[in-house]
Amino acid sequence: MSVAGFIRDILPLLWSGIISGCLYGVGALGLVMVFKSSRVVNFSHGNLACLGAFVVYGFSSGSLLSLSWGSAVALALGIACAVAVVSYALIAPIVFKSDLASTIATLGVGLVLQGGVQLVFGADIVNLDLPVPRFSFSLGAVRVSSYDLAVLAVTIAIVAGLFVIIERTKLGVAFRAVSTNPFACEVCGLNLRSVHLFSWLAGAVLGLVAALLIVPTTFLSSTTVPSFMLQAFTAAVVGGFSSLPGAAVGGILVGIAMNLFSFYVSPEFMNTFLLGVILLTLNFFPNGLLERAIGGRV
Amino acid sequence: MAVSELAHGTKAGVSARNGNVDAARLSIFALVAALALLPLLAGGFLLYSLSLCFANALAVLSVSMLVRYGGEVSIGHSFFVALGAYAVAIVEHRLGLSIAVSLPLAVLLGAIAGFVFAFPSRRLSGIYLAVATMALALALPEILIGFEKFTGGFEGLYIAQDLIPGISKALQRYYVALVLLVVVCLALSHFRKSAQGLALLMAQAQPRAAEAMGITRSWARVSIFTLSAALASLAGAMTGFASSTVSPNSFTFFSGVFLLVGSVVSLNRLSLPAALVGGAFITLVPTYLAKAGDWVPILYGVALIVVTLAANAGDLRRFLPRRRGR
Amino acid sequence: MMATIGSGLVAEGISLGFGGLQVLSDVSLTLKPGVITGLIGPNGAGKTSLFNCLTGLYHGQRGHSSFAGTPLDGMGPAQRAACGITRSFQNLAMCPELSLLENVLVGLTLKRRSGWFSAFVPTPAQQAEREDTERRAMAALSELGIASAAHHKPSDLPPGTLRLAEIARAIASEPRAILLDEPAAGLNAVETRDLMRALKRLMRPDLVLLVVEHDMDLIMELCEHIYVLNFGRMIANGTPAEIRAHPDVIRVYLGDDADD
Repeated sequence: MSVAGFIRDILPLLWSGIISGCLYGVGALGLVMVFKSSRVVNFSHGNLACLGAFVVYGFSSGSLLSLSWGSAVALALGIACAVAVVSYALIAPIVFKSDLASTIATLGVGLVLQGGVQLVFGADIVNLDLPVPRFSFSLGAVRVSSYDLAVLAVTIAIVAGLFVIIERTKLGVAFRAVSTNPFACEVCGLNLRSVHLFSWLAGAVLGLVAALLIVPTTFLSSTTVPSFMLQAFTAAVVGGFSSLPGAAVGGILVGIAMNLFSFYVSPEFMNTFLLGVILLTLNFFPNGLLERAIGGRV
Repeated sequence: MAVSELAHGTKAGVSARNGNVDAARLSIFALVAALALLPLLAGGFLLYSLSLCFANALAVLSVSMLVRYGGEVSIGHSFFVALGAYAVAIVEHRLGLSIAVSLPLAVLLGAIAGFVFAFPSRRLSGIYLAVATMALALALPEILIGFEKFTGGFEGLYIAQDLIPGISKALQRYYVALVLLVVVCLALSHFRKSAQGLALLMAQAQPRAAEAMGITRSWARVSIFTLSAALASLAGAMTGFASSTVSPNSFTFFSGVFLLVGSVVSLNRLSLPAALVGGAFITLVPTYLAKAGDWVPILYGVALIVVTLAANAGDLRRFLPRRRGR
Repeated sequence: MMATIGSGLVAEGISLGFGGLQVLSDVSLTLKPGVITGLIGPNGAGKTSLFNCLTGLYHGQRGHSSFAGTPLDGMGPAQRAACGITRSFQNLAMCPELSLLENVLVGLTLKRRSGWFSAFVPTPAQQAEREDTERRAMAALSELGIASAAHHKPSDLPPGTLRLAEIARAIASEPRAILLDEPAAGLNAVETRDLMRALKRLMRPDLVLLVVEHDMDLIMELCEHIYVLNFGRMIANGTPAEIRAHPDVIRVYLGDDADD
C-alpha cells in the first residue's frame, strides 16, 4: 500500500470513526451513569433504546400513527422514561442486596422489551432517517455531511447538558456523592432512590438519542440496536466503566478502532474484535485506558 | 447450659437431616429409574425431545455452577456450548472419529477457552466478566459463519457417527445423554464436599477471609470459570450428538441468555431434578410454543424477573426494615 | 536491610496513611514464639490497621516486616498464609452455605494435596485425605469446646460459638503464627473465660500468638507481653505489670476503664 493511498484513506476513516464513536460514547454514558449510582450493569439498555427507536418509527411512518418526527420523538422519550421507571421499580427491592440478582433482573427486562418489540413491530427491517436537510462539503480529504454535523451537535449538547446537571445542580451533587460512597450518603440524608431514578432516566434518554442517531447509518430491526449496544459496552469498559469522561473518550476510541479494523482487516469480525478489545483492556488497563489521564473523576 | 442445648439440637438436627437426605436420595433414584425405563413405553419425538432436554440440562448446570461457586453471571455460555458441539462435528468430518474421541477433546477445549477468557478479568468484580460474556455471545455467530471452511457456514454440519454400534440412533442419543447427565450430577455432588469446592464457596462468600486462608481471588475466579466452560463444552458435545446436527441457528445471541434463564428457573441448584427442570424449560417451551414465537422472550424475561425477585424475597424481609425505617 | 534476623514475627518502622490521614507512624513490634502477645489501644488507635499490615491486607508506605527471618514485604494475605500465618476476623467471616465443620475445613486448604480430578471423582487418596482433614478440624473444634455444633449452619448458632469457630479455623492448619482480631468481641463472661483457657492451652513454645483487644482486663490476664497503641504510635510495651504502671497508658486508659 502506498503512503499517499494510506493518507487518502486514513483521514476519512478517522473522521467517520469519530462520528460513530460519539454515538457509542453517548450510549456508554447511559450505562456508566446507571452503574455509578446503583452498581448495576443495565443489560436492558439496548433493548429499551430499540423500543424507543421503533416507537419513533411507528408513530412517524404511519405504521401506527403518522405524527411529525418531533412529536413522535417526544412520545418515545415519554415511553422510554416510563419503562425506565418501571424497570427500576422492579429492581429497587434487590438493588442494594445483590449486584448479581439486579443484573439478572435487567436481563429479564431486556427480554420482555425485546419480545414486545417483535410482537408489535415484527421482525421487519425498516429505515428511520433523521429529518435534517441533506448537504455535504469537503474539508481536505474528508467529506463532511449534514448527518455528521447533527451527530456532533447533539453529542456536544448532551455532554454539556450532562456536565451542567452533574456539576451545578443539587441532583448532580447528590449523584456524585452517591457514586463515591452510597452508605455515607444515606447517613447524610441524601435520597438514594431519587439519585438512582435520575440516573436510570438519564440512561434511557441517552440510549434513545444514541439509537435514533445510529439507525440512519444502517437500518432498524429488533436486533440491530441491542447489538449496537455492544459498542457502547466496549466504550464503557475502555473508559473504565465508572468514569463519565472515560465513557465519552472510550466511545471515540472504539469508533476509530472499529473503522480501522473493518477497513484494514475484516468487516465480518467486528464483534470478535470488540471481544478482543474488552479482554485486552480488562487485562492491561482494568480501570480503563484513561485512568492516569483523568483519574476516574466525574 | 448453652452447650448441652446445642448437643441436643445437634442430635435432633442431624438425624432429621439424615432422614431428609435419605428421602431425597430415594426420590432421585426413582427418577433415574423411571427415566431409564421410559424408552420401553415411549418413543420417537418424546425421546428425541428428552435427549435434548438432558443435553440442555448439562448446559444449564454449567451456568448454575458458575453462579453457585463463582457468584458470577454469564450470558455467553452459548459460546462454550457451541465449541463442544462443533468440536464433535468437525472431528467427525475431518478425522472420521466418533464422540468417543471428540467428547474428551471438547471438554479440554472448553477448559482452555474458559481459562483464556476468564484470565483477563481475574482481579476485577464479576460485573466486568458479565459484560465480556455479552461480547462472547455476540461474537459467536460471526465466528461460526466467518470460518465457513470448518464450520459449514450457515448450513452447519451433520453428526452421523454412533457411539455404540448396533443400537438404534434414538436409544443411543437418549441413553448416552442420560448417563452423562447422571454422572455429571454425581460428580458435582462430590465436588460440593471437596477441598476445592469448599474453597470456592468460601472465596465467594468471604473473599477477604478466603485470602487469609491462602485462597486467592484470581485462583477462585479463573478455576470456576474454567470448570464451568469445560462442562458447557461437554453439554455442547452432547447437544450436537443428541440433535445430530450443528448450525448457527442454534447459537444466536439469545441462546446464552436462555441458558441463564434455565439456570435461574432451576434456582441455580446443581441437583439432577433442578437440572432437568432448567433443561426442560429451555428445551420444551420453544418447542411447544413455536407458534407463539415472540411470546417466548417475554415469557423468559418475566420468569427471570419473577424468580430473581422471589428468590431474594426471603432476604428482603430480613434486610428492608433495618435498612429503611418506613 | 536492617531487619532483625531471627525467629518470630517482626515489624519495624511501619508507617501507613490514607490520603492525608496518618494511621500508623513508625510502629515497631516483635512477636516472639512461645509468648502470648497482646496489642491494645483505644478505638481508632490503629490496632486494626497494624493488624492488617501484619496480615498483608494493607502495605505500609514505610517499614519492613519479616517472619522467622523471611522478609514479608510485598506479600499479600494468601502468600503470608502460605508462610504459616493465620488470622481470625473481627466480623465473623463464615460462609453461610457451609456447616461449621466445613468452614473450619476451608482453613486447611493450603494442606490440600489432592488434585482437580479427585475433586470430581472419589479416589482412595482423596478419601483418606478428607478423613484426615476432618479429624483435624474436629480436633480443633473440640479444643475450643464446640465440637457438638460441627454439623450446624452458622446461621443457627450463637455469635459466641462462631467466634470460637473462627479461632478453631485459625488453629486447625497448625500454623506457626496466629493473629486474633478482637476474639472476645460479643462473647459473654463465661464464653470469654472458655476462650482464654483454650488460648492458653494451645500455646506451644514455637507458636507466635497475637491477640488484639480493647478489653484491658482480658489482655492483662492472658498476655505475657503487651504493646499499647495510641493515635498510630506505640506508646508502651512490656509485661502486664510494667504496662499497668506506665504513666502514658494510665493516662490513655483511665477514661476507658471508668466507662467499663
